[in-house]
This record gives sequence, C-alpha cells and structure tokens, in this order.
Amino acid sequence: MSGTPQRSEPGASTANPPPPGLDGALEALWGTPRGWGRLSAVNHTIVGRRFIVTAFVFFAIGGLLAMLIRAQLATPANAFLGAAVYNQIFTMHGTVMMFLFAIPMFEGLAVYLLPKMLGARDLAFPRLSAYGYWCYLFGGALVVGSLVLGVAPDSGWFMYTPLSSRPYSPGIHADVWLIGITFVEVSAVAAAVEIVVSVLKVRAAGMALNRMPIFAWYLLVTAGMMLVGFPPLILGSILLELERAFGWPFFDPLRGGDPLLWQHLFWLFGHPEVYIIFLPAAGVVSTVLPVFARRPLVGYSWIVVSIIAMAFLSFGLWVHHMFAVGIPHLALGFFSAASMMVAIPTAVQIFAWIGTLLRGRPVFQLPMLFICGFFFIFVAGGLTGVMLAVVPFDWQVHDTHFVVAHLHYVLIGGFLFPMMAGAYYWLPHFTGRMPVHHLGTASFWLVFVGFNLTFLPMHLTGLLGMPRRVYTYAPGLGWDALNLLSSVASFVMAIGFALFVVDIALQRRFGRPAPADPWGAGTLEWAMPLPPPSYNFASQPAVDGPLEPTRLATAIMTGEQHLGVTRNGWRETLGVDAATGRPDQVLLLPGPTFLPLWMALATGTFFVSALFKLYLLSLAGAAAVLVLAILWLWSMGERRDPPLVPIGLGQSALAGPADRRSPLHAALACTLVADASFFASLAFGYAFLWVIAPNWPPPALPAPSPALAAMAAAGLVATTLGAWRAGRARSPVAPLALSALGAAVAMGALAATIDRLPSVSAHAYGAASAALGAYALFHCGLALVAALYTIARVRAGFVSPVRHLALCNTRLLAGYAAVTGLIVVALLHAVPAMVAP
Amino acid sequence: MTADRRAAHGLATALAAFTLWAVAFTALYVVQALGCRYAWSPLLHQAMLFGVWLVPSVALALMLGFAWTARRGRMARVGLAATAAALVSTLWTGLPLLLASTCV
Ligand code: HEM
Ligand SMILES: [Cu+2]
Repeated sequence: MSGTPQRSEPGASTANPPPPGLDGALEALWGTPRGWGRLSAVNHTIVGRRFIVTAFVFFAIGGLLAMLIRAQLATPANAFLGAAVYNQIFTMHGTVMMFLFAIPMFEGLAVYLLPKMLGARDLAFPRLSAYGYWCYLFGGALVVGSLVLGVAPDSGWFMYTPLSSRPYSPGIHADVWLIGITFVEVSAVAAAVEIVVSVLKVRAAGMALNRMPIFAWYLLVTAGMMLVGFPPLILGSILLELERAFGWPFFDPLRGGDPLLWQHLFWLFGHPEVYIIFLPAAGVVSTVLPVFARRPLVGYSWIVVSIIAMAFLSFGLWVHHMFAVGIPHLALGFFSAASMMVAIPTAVQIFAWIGTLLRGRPVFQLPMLFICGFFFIFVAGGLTGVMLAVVPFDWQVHDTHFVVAHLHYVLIGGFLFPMMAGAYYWLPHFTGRMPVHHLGTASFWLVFVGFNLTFLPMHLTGLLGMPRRVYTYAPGLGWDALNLLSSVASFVMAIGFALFVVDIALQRRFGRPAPADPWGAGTLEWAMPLPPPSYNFASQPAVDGPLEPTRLATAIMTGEQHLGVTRNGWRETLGVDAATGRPDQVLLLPGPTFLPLWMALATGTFFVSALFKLYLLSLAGAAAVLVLAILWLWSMGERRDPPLVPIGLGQSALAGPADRRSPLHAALACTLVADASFFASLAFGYAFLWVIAPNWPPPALPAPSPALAAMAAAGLVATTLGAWRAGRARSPVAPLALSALGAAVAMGALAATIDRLPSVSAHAYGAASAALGAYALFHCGLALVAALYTIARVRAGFVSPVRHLALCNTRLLAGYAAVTGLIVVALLHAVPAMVAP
Repeated sequence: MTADRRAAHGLATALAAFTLWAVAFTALYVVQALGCRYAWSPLLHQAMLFGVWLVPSVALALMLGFAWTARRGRMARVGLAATAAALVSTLWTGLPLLLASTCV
C-alpha cells in the first residue's frame, strides 16, 4: 500500500489494479443508471448513503427546533412562541430526533457498511432496503410537513392518552403522529429483517459466526431487538388511531378501556428503543477504539454475551417509566431488579474498552477525541440515571428539566458522540479523502463545551423545580440566569455542528486522497478501493485467519478469490451457512428497479388517505400494495433447477437454490417473529383490559356459539394440514387447494364471529375482541393468498422437488395463521363462555 | 459434534437461555397480577409465584450443566456464559418475592 504512488482519481489508491476487463464488467453489472434511473437504485452503497444523508437532514431540522425551544426559554415571560406552537415544537423535536434521526442513521450505517464488513457485494434483499428508504423518506416528509402547515403533533413524543385522545386533541395533530410514525416504522421493520438475514446468510466464505467483526454482532442483536420492539408501538398506534377515528374505546376508562394500556405498549417499545439507539453506537466504539489503541478488542466473547443479555434484559424494564402510576410493589420490584441487572452488560463493555486501551498503544487521532467525549458524557448521564432509579428521588424530579438533562446526556453522549467518531472514521471511505484536521478538532470542542454548558445547568433548574414541557416561566424563581446560560451555550453547540458540516464539505472538495486502509483497521470494508465501487469486491475473500485488509486486498482486487467472474448477467454474491460461514449457494441479486418506489407510493397512499379519512382510497392503496408484493415475489426464482457453478478457489455451489437455504425463508421467519410480537402485544392488551381496567366485566357478552367455533377451528386445521401435505404429496396442487379452502372457511367463521360481538364502540370488550378477530381474519386471508399464489407458481413451473421454497414458505405462513387463529378462537369463544353466569 | 454444529449450538443455547429468563419474568408478572385481581388465597398465590420463579431456574441450572460439558470452541463458551448470565438474572429478578408482599 505505502509503496504505491498515490494518484487523485478515486480508486487509484489501491495496491494492484484489477485484471483488465473484470473491473469494467462488474461495474457494468452492478452500476446504477443515471438521471431518473437513479430513483431505481437498489445498490446498498447508494441506499445506505441516502439513509445517512436524509437522517442528517432530519437531525438538522430537529436541531433547528431545539434552537427555537432554547430561544423561547432564554428569558422568563418570553412572548416569542405561544403555548400552542411550543407544544408542537418540543413534540416534533423529540419525535424527529428519535424516529427520523437516530434509528434511520443506524439503519443507514448498517445498510452501507454491513456487506462491506462481511465481505459481501450487497445485502440479501437490495429492493427491500430501497423500499424501506422510500417509506422512511415519505413518512418523514409527512410528519415534518405537518409542522409547516401548523398541524404538527403536540402531545409530547410519547403521546400519552387521554391527552392524545380525541376530546383533548381535536384536529389531526395526533393522527399525523400515529399514522406518520407507523409509516416510518414499516421501514424500520424492513431494515431489521434485512439486517438479520444478511448477517446470518450473506458473508464471505469462512467467516464463521465467531469470526465476524464485532460490529456485525451489534447490528445483528440490534436488528433482532427491533423485530420484537417495534411491533408493540405499531399496535399501540393502530389502537389509538382506531379510538380517535372510529371511537373504539381501548383507552377510555368510562367504557372499559385504560390509559395505562397505552403506557405499557409505548414503553414496551420505548425502553428497548433506548438500547436500540445505544447498541449500534457502542458497536462503533468497539470497532473504532481498538483501531486507535493498536490492539484487537479485548474480550470479544464477553461482549457478545453482554449484548445478547442486554437485548433480552432491556425488555424487562419498561415499567420503570411508570413508577408513579400505582403498580403493586412486588411487580415494581421485578422491574427494578431487571433495571439494575441491565447495568452489568454495559459495565462489561466499558471494561473491555478500558482494557483495550490499557493493553494497547493508543494514538489520539480525531475519532478518538469524540470517543473520549462519549466516555465523559455517557458516564455522567449514567450517574444521573442511577439517581433517577432511586424511586423517591424520581418522584421529586419527575417531569422536570432534570430529566431533560439526563436524557440528553445519555442520548447525545451515548449516540451522537460515537456517531461523530464514526463519521470521522468512515468519511475517508465515503469520500475517498482524508479529513482536514483542525476544523474537526474545533468542531469537537465547540460541541463538547456547548453541550455541557447547555445541559449541566438544566440539572439545577430541574432541581429548583422547573417543569419540562412548559412554554414559559415567571421571573424571579432563580431559573433566569441558568436558562439564559443554557440558551447561549446551545448556540455554541449549534456552531460546532455547523463547523462539522463545513468540514465535511471541505474534505470532499480539498481533502487529500485517502491511502488504502488509512487507519490500519482490522475489517474488510477497508480492503477495497476508496470510494468503493458498486460491487465492493472484485472477488470475495476467503476468510481463514485474522482480517487484515491490506494482506487480503491484492488477492481480492486481482479476482483470485471467490466469484471473481461475470457470467449470464448475474449479480452474484456468496450465501453461507449461518454458523460456519461455509458457502452453501450463490445468491443472484436483482438489479435496479422502480418496483420499491411504486410499492412505497402505494403504501403511502394507504397511510395518507387514512390520515384524511378517505378510507376507500386507503383500501385501494392496500390492494395496490398486495398486487405489487405479488409481482415482486413472482419476479424471483427460476423455471429450471439451479445449476452447480464454480465459485473460484476450486469450489462450486448451487446458483440460486430455491429451498430452505434461501434467504427468503429466513426472511419470512424473521417477519413472523415481528408478527408474533405484534400478536403477543395484542393478546397482552386484551388480557390487561380484562384483568386491570375499570368497568369490567362488560355489560354484554356474545351468546356462545360452538358451531362457529368448530367451523373456524376446522378451517384453520385444514389450512395448515393442506399446506403441510403439499410438501409431501406427488402433486402439491390438491393439498394447496384444500389449504385455500380451509382458509376461506375460517375467514367466513371469523367474520360471523366478529359480527356477533357486542358494539365495538360501547365497551372495550367489543373493540378488543374485534381487533383480535380482525387479526386472525387478516392472517387467514394471507394464508389463502399464499396457497393460491403457490398453486399458480406450481402451474407456471417454478416448483420442482428441489425447488420447493414456495411450498416451505406457504407451510410456515399457514402454520402461523393456524396457531394464532386457534388462540384467537379460544379467546373469542371460550373466555366469554367461561365467565358468563 | 463437529466444530460447525457447535458454533450454531452456542448461539441457540444463548437465545434459549434468555428466552427462559423472559418466560420466567413474564410469568411472574402475570401470576402476580392475576392472583391479586381474582383474590387467590395467599398460600396458593405465593406457591404459584415461587413455582414460576424456581421451575425456570432449575431448568436453567440443568442447561448450565449441559453447556459446561460441551464447552469447546468460542461460540460454545458464549452459550455457556449466556446460560450462566440468564440463570443469575432469573434468580435476581425473582428476589423481590422474598421482600415485598404480593398485592400492596
Ligand atoms: C442538538 C442539541 C439539542 C438541544 C439544544 C436540545 C434541547 C432540548 C430541550 C430544551 C428539550 C426540552 C423541551 C421541554 O421539555 O420544554 C428537549 C427535549 C427532548 N429532546 Fe432534545 N435537544 C437536543 C438534541 C437532542 C437529540 C440529539 C435527541 C435524541 C437523539 C433529543 C431528544 C429529545 C427528546 C426525546 C425530548 C423530549 C421531548 C418531549 O418532552 O416530548 N434531543 N430537547
Ligand atoms: Cu427505560
């Protein structure tokens, strides 16, 4: 690397030029068209970059809102913003930062970096990440656009009922939040499926689980948490929107609802969310810090254990946000115990980082400065967190600016500083150029000092009793000088961020070209020309020892490793066995297409029409989504059995096998995990209302109907049995037809069951039961469509004894529909029969 | 067992162990709420609570034993350590049973 003369064209800084032709041939295959064609991009480098840039724009918007907040609070009795506008501004600040900045920033980093670190050419489902991006962009634009129209959400970022329910929040403010954020969450769930499957299936040959870069573990665990963590919020939003739009009283205590149900569903998502934000940032630290400590990370296995532990434990803490609502002490005890427990994995990571620093020979370059800032601020935020965990102290400062100070120490210290370290670390990768040093240092000090002077005083105003979320305060309470200091310092911090942006612009323009692997890193994203070509690797490395980018780079560039060929116009990357990393297939990835964009527009039609109560149009949008999804799936697969093709280094593998090894099977399983979390939250809600809510049991229960129950159950059993038989029988068509018929029968029985329920708006019993019934009905519908689709696939010749992916997936889906459906049938028919006199 | 199967097994063990923790945690919360709402006799309530606490703990202890005998390779040790962590977590989260009364 160092011996090569450096030229300024991108890509010129690498050790060996690729063999003539291979480079160009790969670029022709993997490139993205120009002009309007850019909208059809599916390449992970482009989509990842779009995510990151868009998230940064939303950060700027959220930051602007923060400046408005601080301008308003600078002096007492300030007439700058009125109460109504202030409510919108702080709500939007929190919402934009949490949902439109932090999570998408992590998704963008994952989409951009993951394949490069894992030695792959793209993610498992390029079109899915493009779709996720469009959903994010459109949903985010919808939410932020409401601000311009003056109808932005104004009930706080956690949208507590009854404040956010119809009587206290008329107009569409709250609906914008519920519908817009759900739209954005579609993209989060899509990204989570993408990340989990890609980490498990799409790596370089020989990269066993325990050889993955630690960052991949962080992303895997975070994405897994998102699969389980986001569905409760999506459910809560749907239920609240049903209450607001149609009067289904899930949260109205007079009619058997309970506002606490909202708090449970929100924090069931909200606490894990804190870790979903923190873990990727910690992953950045675990990746960047060893590079500058000049020593491999200490305690790799311990970190893996601790992030898995953290992921689970973080789901057992949500009630600590509800210490003040009157839950029995024993239950509080369980949650406090889990809250204390979760500190241990964090401590393990901190010790691993310190250990790495102590054993290494640290060099203090710019990214390290931000990591030091992270340590300092995050530890301080942790200490105030411990103070808040002391219940009597929490009662004292609950809902004051002390909490605002604490949460910014944790979020800005725990997320923003590591991300800025990451930005300076990976910028050479994005731009192919090195940072212009002193500007970054100046930016760091402005942000660091500005941050502390903004938020340190808020601890004091909080202790002095200044509530959060108030648009103004009276003079002479001892808060004046401290608030002014906060406000002035927040502008210092803003200048620091502006300098950061200027620095990036200058670096792109004037930075000196980055040498290959400029930091001496230990991960594969540096074993490629900078900025990266669309296909990442001219050939995919075979990983057999420690990852040394410079050692591997030459063999990669010259096409001597895996898949250093082009053939049949295929975009190829290796698929591997999840545990060992042994190649088990060649994945054939799709090229640029407008399908994701159309699909996102159809999804947007569904959400936006629902916002404006145009329900027919909304249904049309949903139908369009279904049609496009079928087209999308139909475009995959082949009508002939997969050929065995050479993959280089004397090995061969099947090209695009359509069986259980396919990433599509893993993707369906992941989606069903998210779906199961949704269902569990719904069942929890139903049980919670029965057991805890006031005004139960309901005034009216449906008369028992064993016939309907039996019919539904029989239909469900037939659905799954048919789908099961289809995999064994000589011709799958007849069993699949049985499966479809069973699903249709079950749908009829479920519809009749819903029809016999007492009024959905009179009491939460009717509403909750109807929601459960609709869930089962929807999934039977999916099973029906899947069975018919698979019959069509069989007819069209896509299925053979070795190409049975469609059958596997139909079986999985039908099985899921049957299991959840039977639980719903039991809840709808057996529970009323049991409690009826 | 081959090295590959061991690697897969280590991750599965870790996930299974913490899933057991999650089951125990949920069960504690649910049994606590049900018992108070439907006014079970204190003896029954306590017995149920201790049951849903200790049964998963015993299961985890058994798992720990198995994981100990199969502790070869990095992922297997990850599985072992995670099982131990899940056992400690389960014991710890149930500890308030010894301190607080059930329905106040
Ligand atoms: C850039 C500098 C920032 C400043 C000066 C700032 C300032 C503030 C202030 C003063 C409040 C309290 C408003 C009130 O209660 O009346 C607030 C609330 C909040 N901030 Fe920030 N903030 C900043 C960055 C961030 C970041 C990066 C995040 C998250 C990643 C964030 C998340 C939140 C949240 C969740 C709330 C609570 C909103 C609510 O009460 O509904 N902030 N911020
Ligand atoms: Cu929390």
